[in-house]
Amino acid sequence: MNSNNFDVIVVGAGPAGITAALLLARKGLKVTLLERGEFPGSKNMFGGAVFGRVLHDIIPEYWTKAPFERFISRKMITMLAEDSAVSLDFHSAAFKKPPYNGFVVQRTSFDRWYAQEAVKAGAVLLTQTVADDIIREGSQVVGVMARRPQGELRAKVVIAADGAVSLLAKKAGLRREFTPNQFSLGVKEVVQLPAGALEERLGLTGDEGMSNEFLGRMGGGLHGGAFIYTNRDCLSLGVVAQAHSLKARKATIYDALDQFKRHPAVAPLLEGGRFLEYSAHLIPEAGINMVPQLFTGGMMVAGDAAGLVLAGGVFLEGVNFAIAAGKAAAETAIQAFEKGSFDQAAMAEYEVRLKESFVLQDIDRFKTAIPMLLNERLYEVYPSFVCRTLENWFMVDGTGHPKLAGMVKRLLGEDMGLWQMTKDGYQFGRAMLW
Amino acid sequence: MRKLNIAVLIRSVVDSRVPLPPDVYGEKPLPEGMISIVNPADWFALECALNLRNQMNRSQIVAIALGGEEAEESLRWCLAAGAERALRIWDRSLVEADQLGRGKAVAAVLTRSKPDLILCGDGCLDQINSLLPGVAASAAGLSYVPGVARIEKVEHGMAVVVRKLEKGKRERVMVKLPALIAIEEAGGVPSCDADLPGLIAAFTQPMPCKGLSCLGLSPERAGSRGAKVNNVMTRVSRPITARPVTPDHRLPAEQRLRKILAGGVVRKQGEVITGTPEQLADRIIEFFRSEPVVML
Repeated sequence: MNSNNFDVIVVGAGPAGITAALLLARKGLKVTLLERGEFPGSKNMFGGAVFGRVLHDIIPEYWTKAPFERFISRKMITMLAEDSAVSLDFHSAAFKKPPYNGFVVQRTSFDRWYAQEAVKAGAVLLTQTVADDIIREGSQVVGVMARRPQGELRAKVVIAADGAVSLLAKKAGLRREFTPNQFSLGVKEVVQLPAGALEERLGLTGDEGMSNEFLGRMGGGLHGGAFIYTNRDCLSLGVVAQAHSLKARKATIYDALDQFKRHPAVAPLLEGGRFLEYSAHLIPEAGINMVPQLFTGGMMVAGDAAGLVLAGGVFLEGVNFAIAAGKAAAETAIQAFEKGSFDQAAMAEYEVRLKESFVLQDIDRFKTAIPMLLNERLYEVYPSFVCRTLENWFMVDGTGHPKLAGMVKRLLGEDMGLWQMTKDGYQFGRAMLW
Repeated sequence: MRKLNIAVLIRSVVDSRVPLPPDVYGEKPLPEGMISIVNPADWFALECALNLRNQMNRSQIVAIALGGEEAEESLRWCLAAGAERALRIWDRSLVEADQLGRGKAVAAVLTRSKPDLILCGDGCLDQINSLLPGVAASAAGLSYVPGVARIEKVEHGMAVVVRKLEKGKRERVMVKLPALIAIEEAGGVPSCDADLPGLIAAFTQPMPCKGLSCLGLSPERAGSRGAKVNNVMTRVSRPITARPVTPDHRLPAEQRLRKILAGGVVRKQGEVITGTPEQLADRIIEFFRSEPVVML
């Protein structure tokens, strides 16, 4: 038998690809996992949070084994105006107990650990190996071309988990060209804090951690958000900006990050911090509209490559979707091997599984959030409106406190009409409430 | 003509050329945060061995490494690059062993496998196992030639090598085999453009690992209990504290790139100011305020 033949080829050792390779190897299938970086996690980047309930199904009590920084016990959502901020600050005892709701992890450690689990199960991990193209026989995908001499690699099933700008999905003709509306650009900095400062400033003990998502008008007039996650003794913070607003405003994202770091709500957290690293990543955010065709004969697309990311305003999730998609792809492939059929009809099972799971259900449910997130008043008007309302209300300047309604009406008149706000309220309701 | 057996010593090192992940800036660095690579000089030695084999066609290469799982991965890359065999030495009692103990373990392998020529890199990127080849050569009773720039020829049980000396001087040395030759890295990025079948074979074959008892050594002689030098604490270099350069976005792309590449370092230059006396005075005061020269 040719050594270049495998049962399954998984392209991309991120959460989706590793999950698929791990589950397939556990079933005794001959599976290889291709990774372009020097090791899994070396080329990856994300904000920092993993909501790992799905991982618990695959590796029970993974939190005792995986290298994580802190579990998230405190979740904050903050609306940013120019020099003020309003936060919702949620503490939960349930989030502090196993199975934890979410963790902050470093991809370099986490992906490497997770990939080793797949290797232990029997998957063959080939790093520094890029898959450039797919091999077809008729309408059936039968392998990939790796960027190495004699790089032809054949398998019954190819699972493409090769990231946001998936080359393989494009080569297979499964996705259309992207538009700037569909992506956000995220940049992240890791800042080391003096010993003990993190716990003190954020009121954390032990392994407790915090995630804080920000919404508002970023520096340079960019639309998007920002985040802060707690690592063990450093903070990950970053700015996410919609690609079309980067283009329209001719602004740069690092200026926005600089301004975010100088914001009065953020600067005290970073006092005395030392800059450690800087990274950037494209985030597919257009929801169901940019999900490509998920399968063709002999091939499935998973993770970011399939646009399986939930960007629903207050929910920013990707890794759990990637893991669930990897699992669905693996189960589909296992079933295909049992039946001995790998054509388009066999692969269609993958989409059925995704539709039955939270993956496509959530993305479908929150597709109404996309127009809300593209509504410019969400960034330009409302955060500063809420902040100014509270500022005026809490201000003690000897003129007495007005009742809220009158003040809101006065402040509203400056920015927009009641009718506009009603329409936006309806849009918000459709996005989040019903 | 007899087959020439070449052994290459491979050491795994922490890649200190990339920014280290934040975890490692503690008192004792955590191993999971570090990135382990093949010591670049050792990789260069492997490439020399491959070149030698191409010239002499009757030779085989065995890669030998001392270390845990990270060493196994390094050895698999050596196999992918073209080494015939790989051998890993590891034992729990070697974790805290000193250079003498580790050197003895490598010496035991060399004594048993009797290679004609042993190559390794001159020096270690992270300095941790720099002494290892010298100690191993000494314990195995082999000649040791460090600082070698290139191997000129290997024939009739002799090797002719060119050594680097101070101030660019070179010396040609003739050494009787078996000998351990430490080759200086010639720069360049080590790369592995192994073909795919070779890579798959390297990463699917079983990898033998020998413990101390297989080598006829005891933990008292070579392991931690025999160690005369003990590591009390390891500290990695301090993190880079410089702020990232965020160049003015109004500049053309080429100038922005220059600024990023220069890391914010700009050439010192004077400034010519013109204007009314008041404007000049304002500019001078502003200058003194912005530069920490005098307190205003």
